[in-house]
Amino acid sequence: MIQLQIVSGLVSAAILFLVASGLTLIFGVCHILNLAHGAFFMLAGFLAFTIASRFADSAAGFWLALAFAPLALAALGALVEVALFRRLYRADILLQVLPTIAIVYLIGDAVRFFWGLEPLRVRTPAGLDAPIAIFGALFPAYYAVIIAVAAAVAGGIWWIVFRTDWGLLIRAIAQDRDMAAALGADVGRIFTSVFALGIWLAGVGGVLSSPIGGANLGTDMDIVVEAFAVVVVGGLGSVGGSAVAAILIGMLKGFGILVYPQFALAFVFALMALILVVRPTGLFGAKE
Amino acid sequence: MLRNLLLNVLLGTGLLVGAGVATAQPIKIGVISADSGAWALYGGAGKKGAVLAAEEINAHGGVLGRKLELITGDNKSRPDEASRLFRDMVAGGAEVVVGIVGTGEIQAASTLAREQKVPLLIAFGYGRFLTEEAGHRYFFRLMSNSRAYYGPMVDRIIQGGYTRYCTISNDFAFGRDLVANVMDDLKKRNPKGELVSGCEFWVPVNATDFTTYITAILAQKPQLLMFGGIVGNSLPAFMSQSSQFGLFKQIAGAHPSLGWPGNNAGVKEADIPKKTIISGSDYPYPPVDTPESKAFHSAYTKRWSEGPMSESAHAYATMYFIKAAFEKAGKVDREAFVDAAEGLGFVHPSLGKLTVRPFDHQSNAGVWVGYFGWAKDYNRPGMEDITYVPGDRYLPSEEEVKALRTKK
Repeated sequence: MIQLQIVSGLVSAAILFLVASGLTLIFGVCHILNLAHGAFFMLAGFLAFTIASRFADSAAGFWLALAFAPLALAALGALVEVALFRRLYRADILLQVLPTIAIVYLIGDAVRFFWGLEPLRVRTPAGLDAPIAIFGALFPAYYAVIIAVAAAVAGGIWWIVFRTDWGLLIRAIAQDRDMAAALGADVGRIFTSVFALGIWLAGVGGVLSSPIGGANLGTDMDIVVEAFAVVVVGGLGSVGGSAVAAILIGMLKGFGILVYPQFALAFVFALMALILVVRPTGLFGAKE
Repeated sequence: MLRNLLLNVLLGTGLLVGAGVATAQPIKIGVISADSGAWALYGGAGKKGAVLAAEEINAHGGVLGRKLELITGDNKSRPDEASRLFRDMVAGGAEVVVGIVGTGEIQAASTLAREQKVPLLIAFGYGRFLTEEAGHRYFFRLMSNSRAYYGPMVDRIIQGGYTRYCTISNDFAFGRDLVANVMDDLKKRNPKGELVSGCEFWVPVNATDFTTYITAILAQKPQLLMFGGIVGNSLPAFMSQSSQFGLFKQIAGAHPSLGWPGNNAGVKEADIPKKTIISGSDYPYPPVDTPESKAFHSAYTKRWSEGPMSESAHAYATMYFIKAAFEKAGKVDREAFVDAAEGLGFVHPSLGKLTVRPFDHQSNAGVWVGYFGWAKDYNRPGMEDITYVPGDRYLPSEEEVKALRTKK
């Protein structure tokens, strides 16, 4: 039954990676610790519910949600960056964190107002709700989709960051924003696009996880705390690090439960504490 | 927030108009409900039941010739707010207070009720200690005590011959208490039964990802999973993931309160297994087939354009109970109210004829026990094959209550 635990650990890892990679990108480039990241994740789940139920919960409805909900959120993210964070890049770190907390409350109340209080279920896309065998263990086929999409997104981000001009600018600005600006890079535009990309990633995570956990109030803080653990373990600002850390933490969750169920969740944060002591910059974080 | 505010304004004006018609001074009743926060779904439904009953009572001449006037307040699911509202309502002239908030929050108000000698009747908050260790002269509970709702489930588990159990629960006081009580009961009454070692899982409140837990449970191959401590947002998520893994096709389930409409809100038809989850409810869907139950369901649905939940029925019954107690006392007086309420019988919409036990002020309400299912005609989760199990034999005797209350 070890296969079951590996696959379920990978599914956790896939969702964690999507959220954490956005968090780490925004931190690495814009230097903003976006506590509202989980709120965008939560909002994506509710948007997925609305879009999917417009199409009578058909598979097409879900795929449309996966295509469009993250894009809508990315647009919202860009708006927030232009309207709010752009004015705060030179401000104190605390002053940057406070508005992100405000956004958590704003999105939370908006969700309560528009969708109400009851948890909402999003149907697993038709055709993917039956179990398939992965490594000889029966698994819902949809779980393979989550893992595949996360892997594809990971590849996509790597390609963007290391193989495109946009990525070159992102890396340059992450390394030294003043120097990049002095050399003519449009820092503002890069910040907006990176912020939007980060929120898009949270949106993909939110839509993908909605058929598993549904759309619920309260997931905003839960996911951001776990994603933060991934970011710390992987190294602040390192997308590759967050991929490795997400898998590590996913597996820790999967197998921790088998070994010592009462402490399954503590393992994750114990690992985070250990990394902070032994290697404060995280596994792949740049040395200051 | 805005929606709640609008609702409050509408309710407030409606009741004021009703009160203005009466010539005598209205009788003020405080209603503390959780309209927002963790228990909003339950508190909101209870408040609607109380308002409906007050409107009906006023339309039929009120109580002792006086109209009822509700003083409502939202405790935001917080204990400190429950205390503050209780004080404010009493200061504002409330003769008695009705509480529709969680167990932990009502505890705070109950202490005040004892100090200020103001009757407090609750329509939500099942924690058994409220009428046991913490019970007193001014505290009343008309729906069941948690003992009376997990007891019948334990009976069914034993009758079913299940001997290998796993448990999973949200990690909070009520869940810890429930799992410990159920497992203690099972151990005492079913010596052959065992909790599979390493198969006791605790997940954070409102967690929605159960994948790793479900696969771990499947790996342990138990015969039955007791998941009674899974509540709130966690529940529909857990049901959907168990269905994806076919969990309840392989093992049986037991959840004493899954039939509660507030607990199963959001569970989809496709995620409900056929007659494999033992459960209970004090307001099962489809609604119980008695004249009083049908009358309540149609009046409530007409008034609020949504179906009632357990708390709606409890609050509704509580308002009529308050009326009956004042009428039996023949005057509006708090001490006379308590004396009249002790041993007083009343009719609950879904549980029928009940009595408030004079020595602990806990009613003998029981629950309907059966399998968790789908109520097709109401397009929502419900129950199948239900039988009513009265609460009497699960509740502590007068001596036991005395012992519990004197123990420090």
